Amino acid sequence: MYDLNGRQWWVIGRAVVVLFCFFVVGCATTEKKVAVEDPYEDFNRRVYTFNQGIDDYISQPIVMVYDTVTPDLLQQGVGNFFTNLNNVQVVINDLLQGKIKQGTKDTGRFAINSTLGVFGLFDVAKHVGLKQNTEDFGQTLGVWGVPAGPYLVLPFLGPSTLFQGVPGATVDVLSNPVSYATALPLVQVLSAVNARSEAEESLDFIDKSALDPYTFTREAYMQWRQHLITDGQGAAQASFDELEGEIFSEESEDLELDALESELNVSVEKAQELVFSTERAEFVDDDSEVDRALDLLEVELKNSATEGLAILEKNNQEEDANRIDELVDVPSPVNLDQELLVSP
Amino acid sequence: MSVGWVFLRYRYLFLLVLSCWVFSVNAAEDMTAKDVVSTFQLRLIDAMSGGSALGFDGRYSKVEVAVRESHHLTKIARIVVGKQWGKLTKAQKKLLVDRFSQLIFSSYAKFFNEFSGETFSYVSEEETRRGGVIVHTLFEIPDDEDVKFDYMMKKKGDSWRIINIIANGVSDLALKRSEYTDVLSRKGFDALIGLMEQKIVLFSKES
Repeated sequence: MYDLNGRQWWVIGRAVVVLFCFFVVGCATTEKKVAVEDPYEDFNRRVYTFNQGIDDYISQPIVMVYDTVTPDLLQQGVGNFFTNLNNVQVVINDLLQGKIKQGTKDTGRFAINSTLGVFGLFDVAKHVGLKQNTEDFGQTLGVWGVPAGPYLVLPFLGPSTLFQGVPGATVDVLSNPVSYATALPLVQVLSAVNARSEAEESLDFIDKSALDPYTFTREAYMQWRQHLITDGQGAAQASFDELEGEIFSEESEDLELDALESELNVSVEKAQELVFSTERAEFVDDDSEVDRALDLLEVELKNSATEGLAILEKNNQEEDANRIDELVDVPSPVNLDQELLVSP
Repeated sequence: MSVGWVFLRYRYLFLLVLSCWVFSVNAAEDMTAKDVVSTFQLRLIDAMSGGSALGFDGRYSKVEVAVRESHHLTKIARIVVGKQWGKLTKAQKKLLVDRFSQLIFSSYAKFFNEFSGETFSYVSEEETRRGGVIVHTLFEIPDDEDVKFDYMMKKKGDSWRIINIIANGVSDLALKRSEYTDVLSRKGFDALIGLMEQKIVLFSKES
C-alpha cells in the first residue's frame, strides 16, 4: 500500500499542498477580499512594536553579555555547531524540492563537519568547496507553487507569511534536532541566543537606516524569501519588470526630470560659488582690515610723530628763548621802544 | 602682441589641448554600462580605503562625486515616491530630490566606512526588453560569503546611469519605494523630509 518511491511521494505531497492552498485561498477570497500584501498591517505593527520591546529589554541585553563574555572563536564554533545541525533540515528540503545533486553535497557537508569538524564546531567542508546552502520548508512550499499569502509578524518570532512561513516554521522546528534536546534546555537557549547574536548586525542596520523600520523589514523579508525560493534566478529581471513602467516612463516626464535636475545643478553650482565667493570675500576682507589697521596705525604714528616734533620744537624754542633772555638780556622790542621813548 | 600671433606661436599646443578635450568628452559618452558600474565601484572602494582617516566629510565628498556621476538620482527620487510625485509642487519635488541625494551620499559615507580587502568583480550583463541593461557583479569579502550586486541601468542622454541596485535579491529601489510611499501616505510630505533630514544628521554625527 505504501510502496511508493520518493518522487511519487513528492508529487502526491505537492498535489495535497496545492489543493489545500486552493481551498484556503478560495475560502479567504470568498469571505473577504484579501488586500494586496499586508491586510493585517495594524495587527502586525502592534506585534512588531511588542517584539521590539522584548528585543530592547530582554534579547539585546542578553546578547550583549553573550558577545562580551564569549570569545570570537568560541562564538564562531557555536554558530558552526547549530548551522551544521540545521543541515538535517536542509537535506530534507533539498530532496523535497527535487535537488538531488545539491542534497548529496549537503549530506556530504553534514558528514564531514560532524566528523572531521568535531560535531560541527569547525566548518571543514567549506575548505573542500562545499558551501552552506539555505533551504527550509517555507521555500519548499514556494517551490511547490504555494503562494506566500499575507504577511504576518509573529510574537517573539518576527516576520513570516501565512501560507509559507507559518507551516514552514512548524515543519522546520520538527525537523531540527535541537528541538528534541529537551533534556538539554541550555542547548535550546544557546541556539536562540546564537541566532539573535548573528542577526545583530542586520537589525542594527535596519534600526539606523530605515525611515520606517516596519515597512523596511516587511519589504526586505518578502524579497529575500522570493530570492531563496527562486535561488536568485531572474530576480533582477523580475525587479526590472516590476518597476518597468516607472523606469521607462513617458518622454514628457523624462524632460521634466531633466529640467528639474538642471535647475538643481545650477542651484548646487550657485551654492558652491556663493561659498567660494564668501570665503574669498572673507579672505579679502581680512586683508582689507589688516590694511586699514595698518593705515590707521601709520596715520596715528605720523600724527604722533608730528605732534612730538611740534612739542619738541616748541620746547626747544622756549628753552632757546629763555637761554637768550638769561644770557644776553636783550630787551624786547616793546621794551626797547619804551626805553627809547623814555630815554632823552 | 596680437591674438593671431599667440595662436600661430602656440597652434600645436592649442590643437593638442583641443584634441584631448574632444577625446575626453567622447570617452565619457562612450562609457558602457559596465564601465559606469566599475568606475563607481572603484570610487566606492577608494572611499572605503580612506576609512576613518578620511572621516565622514572626506568619504562624503568622494562618494558624492562617485554617485552623482553614475546614478540617475532625479529619476530614482521620482520612482521612490510612486504616484504621489504628481501631487507634489515643483518646490517640493526639488526639495525631495535634494534631500534624497544627500541621504544617499550620507548613507554610503556612513556604512562604507572601512576597508578589509573587499573587491568587486564583474560577472556578466544582460539586456532587458525595453533597452535597459543589468550588470551582474560580485562583492567579495575575505573570509565571508560573496554578495551578489546587480545594477539596473538606463540610458540618460548619451550615458548609462544606475537606476537600481539589487543586493542578494533585495531590490533597493523596490524597498525604498515601499518605505517612502508608506511614509508619504501615512504621515505626509513634511514628515518624510523631516525623517530624511534626521537620518542625514544622524549619519554625519555617528561617524
